[in-house]
Amino acid sequence: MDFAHTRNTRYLSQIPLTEIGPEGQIKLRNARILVVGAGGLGCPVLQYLTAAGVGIIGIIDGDHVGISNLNRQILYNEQDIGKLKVQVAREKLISLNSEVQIEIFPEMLDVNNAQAIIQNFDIVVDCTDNLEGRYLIDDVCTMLKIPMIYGALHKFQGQVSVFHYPDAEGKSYSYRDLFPENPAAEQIPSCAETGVLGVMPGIIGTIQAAQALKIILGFGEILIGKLFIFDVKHLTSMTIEISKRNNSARESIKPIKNSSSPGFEVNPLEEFKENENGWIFIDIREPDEIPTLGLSPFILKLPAGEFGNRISELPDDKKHVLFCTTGKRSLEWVKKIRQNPNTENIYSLKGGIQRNSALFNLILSRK
Amino acid sequence: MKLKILLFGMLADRFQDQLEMELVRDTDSLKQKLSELDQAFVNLPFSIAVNKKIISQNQAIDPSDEIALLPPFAGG
Repeated sequence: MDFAHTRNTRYLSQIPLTEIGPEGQIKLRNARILVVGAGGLGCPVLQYLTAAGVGIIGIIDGDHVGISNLNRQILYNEQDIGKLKVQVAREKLISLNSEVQIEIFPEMLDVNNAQAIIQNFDIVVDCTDNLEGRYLIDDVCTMLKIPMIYGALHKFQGQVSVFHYPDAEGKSYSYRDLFPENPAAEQIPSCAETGVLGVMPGIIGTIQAAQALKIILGFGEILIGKLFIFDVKHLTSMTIEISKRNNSARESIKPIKNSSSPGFEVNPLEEFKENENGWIFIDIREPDEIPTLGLSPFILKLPAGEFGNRISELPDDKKHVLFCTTGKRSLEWVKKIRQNPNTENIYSLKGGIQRNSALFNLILSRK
Repeated sequence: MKLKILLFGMLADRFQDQLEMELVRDTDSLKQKLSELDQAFVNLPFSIAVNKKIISQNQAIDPSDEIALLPPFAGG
């Protein structure tokens, strides 16, 4: 394929913009952007950055495509269910623009890999779906002075801001200026899925992509020290000023909440494939919580409140994996249960239903 | 005169988009009053904006001020 020719015609609709021009197109081609999370926000961000001709795009996500993703994660279709999101995303994005180099990281961002991955990029787009991930990106971007384009959702509302990117006076802000670390966050029953209208990540992700493009191209309004809030139900928006807090800067990465208690959490997809009868998965959610799971001989529904009374009924020869939607509540329970004797075979499913779609597809296929 | 408070995210789920309260002197007393009103204001973390600016320390509240309570959003 004649790439020079493609380039000339491919970007015919954006090069005429005086804010872009041929020079801007070269800036885009030389840019390296990391997208953390290839879910609701990540999909539109990836599509628009790829379409615009950003030279190198990194995608980090360890999750597999599940059918419940399809109401909003528009890069994927039914044939992709069970496949790694980053692999499917790369195929689709390359078919959209083969000039773009897509680097994939089939893992979750954590304290061990974050710095090594992030340091190879000019901009990080935060498309994660959890607070730990956001604080981690914030820490690493503070340290490396790499702009972080934050986006987050709740039902019909979304937020966007840009951190670690200096304004004209050299002043920059962090996620911790907006939301300082708060131990109360752990008390939120975060396993209960709140739900989100499918267009919401489309709108917020597109605004994040626009922020990234404007930073690369050097024009227009960048949300430095500002939180943009959009509400699709009332069709209202609001921009709120962020104040710098004294103790928000971090010098080195520290795991904020070390929720990965060694030995308590498992992701037993491979082990389950090898010996299905060695495992029982216990749904500790309340009966009205979503997503509702079908029946499987490997799933026992035992809401957390009842679990303590019935612990002695569980067979000794199996490994018991407690799960909830995100894996936080189940971990809290396992920590408590493990204080009792003879509980070494009780684990929490790391990442919960949300992060184990391949495992649940398999478990639920068994009748 | 009552103080007008806009709620976002999980706080709006729990109550309404908007709440009216007796006037308070400053943001610290607002936090205190809210925690007496409902346990959610103790259990959920949130930032406070006065007239569309997030406060980083205790700040006086004027009756005409618009207050917004912003819990973090987790979704993506």
